Amino acid sequence: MFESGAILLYIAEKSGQLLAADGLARVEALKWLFFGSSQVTHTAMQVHYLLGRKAAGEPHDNLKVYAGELDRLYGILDGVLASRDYLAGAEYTIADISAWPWVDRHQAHGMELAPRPRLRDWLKRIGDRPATRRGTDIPPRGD
Amino acid sequence: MIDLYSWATPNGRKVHIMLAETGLDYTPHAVDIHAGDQFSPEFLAISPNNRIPAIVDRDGPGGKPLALFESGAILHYLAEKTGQLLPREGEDRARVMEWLMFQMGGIGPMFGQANHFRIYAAKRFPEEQIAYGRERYTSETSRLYRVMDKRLADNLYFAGDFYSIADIAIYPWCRNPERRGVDHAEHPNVLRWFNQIDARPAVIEGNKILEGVPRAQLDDKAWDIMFGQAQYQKR
Repeated sequence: MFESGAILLYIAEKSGQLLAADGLARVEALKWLFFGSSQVTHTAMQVHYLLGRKAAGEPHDNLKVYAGELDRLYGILDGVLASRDYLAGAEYTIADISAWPWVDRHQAHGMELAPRPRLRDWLKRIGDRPATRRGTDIPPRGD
Repeated sequence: MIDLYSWATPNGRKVHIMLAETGLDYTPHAVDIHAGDQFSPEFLAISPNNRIPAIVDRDGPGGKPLALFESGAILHYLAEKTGQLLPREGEDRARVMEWLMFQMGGIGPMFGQANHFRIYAAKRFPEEQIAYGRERYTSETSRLYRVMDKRLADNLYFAGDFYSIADIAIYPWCRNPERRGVDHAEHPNVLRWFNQIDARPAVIEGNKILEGVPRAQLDDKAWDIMFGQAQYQKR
């Protein structure tokens, strides 16, 4: 299998974990999984790629445009976290796992988290999970 | 009854076709994205990312109304609600999600950027400002087409030998390929698949939803709404 979002969903359904079996909680998790896997991932990847070109002294037109879009998406995430601890609600789900690694790179991407306090708290809440710490060390970090 | 908030774009068409395929009862509401309809407080309450399509299912989970955005999430939700176009378990289900996510994370964003640089930005900016973006996203579109053609060489549909929400998600992005510098004749398996989907009665019906609704011109104001300050102003 390929595609990270599809793998998350497959493992959640296989294990019966991190995704509600039915009801509103399930729909919310799927909604933010798609948002994380398409909008956040794609936009952060463009910023990441263009920053790499900038560092290499190569043309990096449109970096500002994609950084602006990424900041807008950070705002959407910060907004939904105003009323809940996790993207899909009170429970940690695969939706959080989908978006977290990209937001975790905010410094490298030149993004400002100070105006997004709820996103900053969410980042730490998930970053403090022992499984997150173990998972981010696979393979041992070299980036 | 489902309220559909949408516009006849590739992402909108995914949901239009899904509604036609499943036979669900719906009421379409046009959201003219050139006119800024997507920034109305009513629409933002349903779709905080100010993007179409979005739905409100008046008979959502627990019998309560459900507002939903993200085209892939809507396809997935309607498939689970109706029990159609997404197998309940097993490898077939995993394959559908794999190719649905391939559309959401690859085809949609990359083809969309190619559209942006080749059609929208090309009319507005000098060649030297758009050359890089146009080349990068046209090349990426071409690479994705090769992945798609290879997949369809051995499979009738993206997930296997059955039609699914993965096909519904990908098909609208394969309409008008010349806009993205693609010639379907160079991708015979995609062409065969596309013609098959394009001829489905429900696809023909879905493609008519909100098609032909008068739309605002892409003038300076519309550019500002789509890609300029209006898009990025704090709300």
